[in-house]
Amino acid sequence: MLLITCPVCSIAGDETEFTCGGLYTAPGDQRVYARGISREWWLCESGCGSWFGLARHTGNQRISAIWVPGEEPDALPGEIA
Amino acid sequence: MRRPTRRYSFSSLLREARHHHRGWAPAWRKAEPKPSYDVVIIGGGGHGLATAYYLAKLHGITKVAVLEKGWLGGGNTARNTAIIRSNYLRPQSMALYGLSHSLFEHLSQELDFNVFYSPRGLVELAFSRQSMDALSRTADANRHFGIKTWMIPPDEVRSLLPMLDDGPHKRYPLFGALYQPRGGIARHDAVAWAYARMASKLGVEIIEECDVENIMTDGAKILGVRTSRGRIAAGTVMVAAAADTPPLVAPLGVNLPIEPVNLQAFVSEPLKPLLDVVVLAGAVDGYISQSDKGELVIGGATDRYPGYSRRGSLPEIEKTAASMLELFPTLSRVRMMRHWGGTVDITPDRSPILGPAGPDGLFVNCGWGTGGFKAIPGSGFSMAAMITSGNAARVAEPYGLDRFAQGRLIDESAASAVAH
Ligand SMILES: Cc1cc2nc3c(=O)[nH]c(=O)nc-3n(C[C@H](O)[C@H](O)[C@H](O)COP(=O)(O)OP(=O)(O)OC[C@H]3O[C@@H](n4cnc5c(N)ncnc54)[C@H](O)[C@@H]3O)c2cc1C
Ligand SMILES: [Zn+2]
Repeated sequence: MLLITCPVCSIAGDETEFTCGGLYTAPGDQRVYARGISREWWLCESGCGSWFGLARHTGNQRISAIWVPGEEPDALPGEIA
Repeated sequence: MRRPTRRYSFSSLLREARHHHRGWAPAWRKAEPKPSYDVVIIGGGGHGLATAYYLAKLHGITKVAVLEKGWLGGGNTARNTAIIRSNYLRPQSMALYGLSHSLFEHLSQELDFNVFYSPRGLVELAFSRQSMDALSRTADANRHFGIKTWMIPPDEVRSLLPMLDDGPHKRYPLFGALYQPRGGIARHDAVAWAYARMASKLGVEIIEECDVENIMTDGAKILGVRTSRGRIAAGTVMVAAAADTPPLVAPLGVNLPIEPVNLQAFVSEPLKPLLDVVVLAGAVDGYISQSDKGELVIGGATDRYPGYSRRGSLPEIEKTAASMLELFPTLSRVRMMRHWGGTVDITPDRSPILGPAGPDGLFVNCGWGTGGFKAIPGSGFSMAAMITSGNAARVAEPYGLDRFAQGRLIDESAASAVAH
């Protein structure tokens, strides 16, 4: 189970309150999911309706960063290039 | 010295019993990797093993290695709920899953191994007029294709499924069901072992604990693979590594539209026989069957986000339990014994990706998602034909990667709305 806090409205909940929008890529970027830390888009579905960024390890599901678009963190340790 | 693989029969059982069962040969040889093979298959799941078997059996290609990073069937092949059916909607799917279903009918005899194929009947419940319409369309399409399915009215559903609670107070009133009398289940790990044993008998080398790190090419054609146990040369490589396939082929410029998603299943304590058929209920995202041991085998929907963890999330467990109790409140005190997850490889149209991709000599057999167990014999049969004779394998041909660029999708998202 994922526990997520929206960086925009601060609502917190499990994944049923949010929607994963796939990899945090620009249009045309052909990257695919792999094991390791991936950046993703998530939608604050039950709260403010904003899209935000989230870095998650696809193996152990640990969340290492959450951000508002435009405030992306620098490269994270273990992140898939 | 290697003992030859002996036929499993009543007389060999008697003979072995007299010698305290010390004379059985291992079901398959534990091979050491050789420097080169004609064909290397990455992934010792059902699809890799079945392709290897049919290459050797039907096409005489025996210089084949199946490389498995863990143990045989340790991926989704021995993590699934073993449902077998062919009541799909699209002609391409009916051809592929229909072929597979017909191969399952005689698989135990063909492979000399009891895979516990049990065509006990399968019902897909309809709880609304819309789902009656959708399932009736499938029944009509199946009839045109010679696949025996038909719609049955609520009374008939009740007689097949006396445990179903569909009183007037229910949230989901029963409208009827799509019935496939030859749908059923088999024992999943036995299918992997049976293919491995026969492939090995025909000369295929099965190499476990051999992790493929990357696929080697000269840019235009395949040269082989680099593994945790050294390099292996091969002009043909088939990747059947489920959700690990996209990262393996991406460095070769092959972008597979596949998402890894976790899917879980549960098994209850053993009960007296109470459920004769396999039940799918898309409306509540749940399905159930009873194993020969008496355990109820229950599954639900996939997680709502990608991942490789092979552990499902708690909300999906709750949802599946709730859906089962909605249909069968009588199960409320049944204890659950085991629960597990697998990482399935989902494509946008919920159909697999089969065929050549990228450099010459590379083939993929993946994207089976939540429903590839039932397709193991059919995909192995047709991929072996495709590898040996180009695109002569009519059944697999529509499933090429180019269908996504050309808009030739084989949309089975309705058929796999509930995982099975
Ligand atoms: C909970 C659950 C329930 C399901 N229920 C059903 C059902 O009822 N009916 C149905 O038809 N289908 C069902 N499925 C789907 C079905 O299990 C799969 O579609 C099918 O098993 C896929 O087989 P495969 O051979 O492609 O993959 P797998 O069996 O996953 O095999 C792939 C193999 O590749 C190996 N591998 C990966 N990377 C490498 C590497 N780099 N080097 C070497 N080896 C590698 C893995 O270790 C693995 O053993 C279910 C799946 C799950 C998880
Ligand atoms: Zn919010």
